[in-house]
Amino acid sequence: MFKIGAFTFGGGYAMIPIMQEEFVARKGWVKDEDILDIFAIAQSMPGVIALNTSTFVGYRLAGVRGGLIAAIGIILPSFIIISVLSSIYLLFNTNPYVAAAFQGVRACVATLIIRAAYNMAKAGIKNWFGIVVAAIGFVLVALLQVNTIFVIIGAGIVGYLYGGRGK
Amino acid sequence: MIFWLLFFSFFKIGLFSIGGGYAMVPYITQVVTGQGWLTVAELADVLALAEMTPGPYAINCSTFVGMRMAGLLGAAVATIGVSTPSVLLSMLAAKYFYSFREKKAVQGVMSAFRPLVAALVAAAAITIGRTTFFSNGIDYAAIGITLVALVVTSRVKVHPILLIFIGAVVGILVYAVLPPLF
Repeated sequence: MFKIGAFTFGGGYAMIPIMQEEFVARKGWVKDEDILDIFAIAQSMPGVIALNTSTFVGYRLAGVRGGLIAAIGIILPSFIIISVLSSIYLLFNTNPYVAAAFQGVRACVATLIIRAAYNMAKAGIKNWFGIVVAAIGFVLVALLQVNTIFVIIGAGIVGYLYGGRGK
Repeated sequence: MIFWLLFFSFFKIGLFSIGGGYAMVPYITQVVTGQGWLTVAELADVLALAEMTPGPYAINCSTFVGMRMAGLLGAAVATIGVSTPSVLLSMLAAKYFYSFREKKAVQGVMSAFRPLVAALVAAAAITIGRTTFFSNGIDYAAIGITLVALVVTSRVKVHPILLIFIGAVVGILVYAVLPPLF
């Protein structure tokens, strides 16, 4: 678990193939068919995907202790590294080369997010309902700055009603 | 007291974010800037740092903000705060995994969440774009870098970390090395 936390950069979605390899192929903890379902659930649940997935797997393998150990394993490497980095952050900022590098990185991060948005839209918006939810959600959050909590709860309610109609 | 505030705020973040990663950016931004802990520009920096380092963005964020506001203990409190909902809910989900899946109600909710996550990520793009491109006048170079990177990555598969690294190098060239030459 510690290994996965330590060797996955970039957060969130970048961790998925690595987790898949580790959990299914290398360690045989999870069956192939199940891992996709687990990812889907981890994604629809609140919180961090990697954390959800590893806690889930840890729990299935070794109960509450397994879940907790898995969670700690994923969190610890990040925690240590960022703790160190954040203490030096101020030092970093004033160096012109570092500031320049950061701006370049920010531009690339923007690229990554744009691509992610595009891919998610392609994968997640499959019908008129999806388009409407996405459009309204986007307007509310991005343009009107509505508190995200309300948007999520609203979407949940709408989804529940829509789904309940037996589509 | 700052520790309770940190714990509670990040607990909320851990509880009310779906879709992970970038989809959490809008809410994290709202909470953290709402408390006056970081500016949007600083959050963009944390995102940049998070891309370069291991681990999920939310964890990186909680550690960073906690550290800045209240030292190592603050970092620990915030990180525990953001992780707790995940850990509890995941263990619950693991327990009831198979019985949950088929419920129509659950599927209904998930069917709304998927497009919403796309919208949230798009909102994140807007937020990051705004602060990257428009915080000190219009940064055409940054816009250029983003566009070029978009075109390149749509043709060639580039590992995110490599892209970040290239971004850092290009950034140094464009902003620090070239200007003095002209």
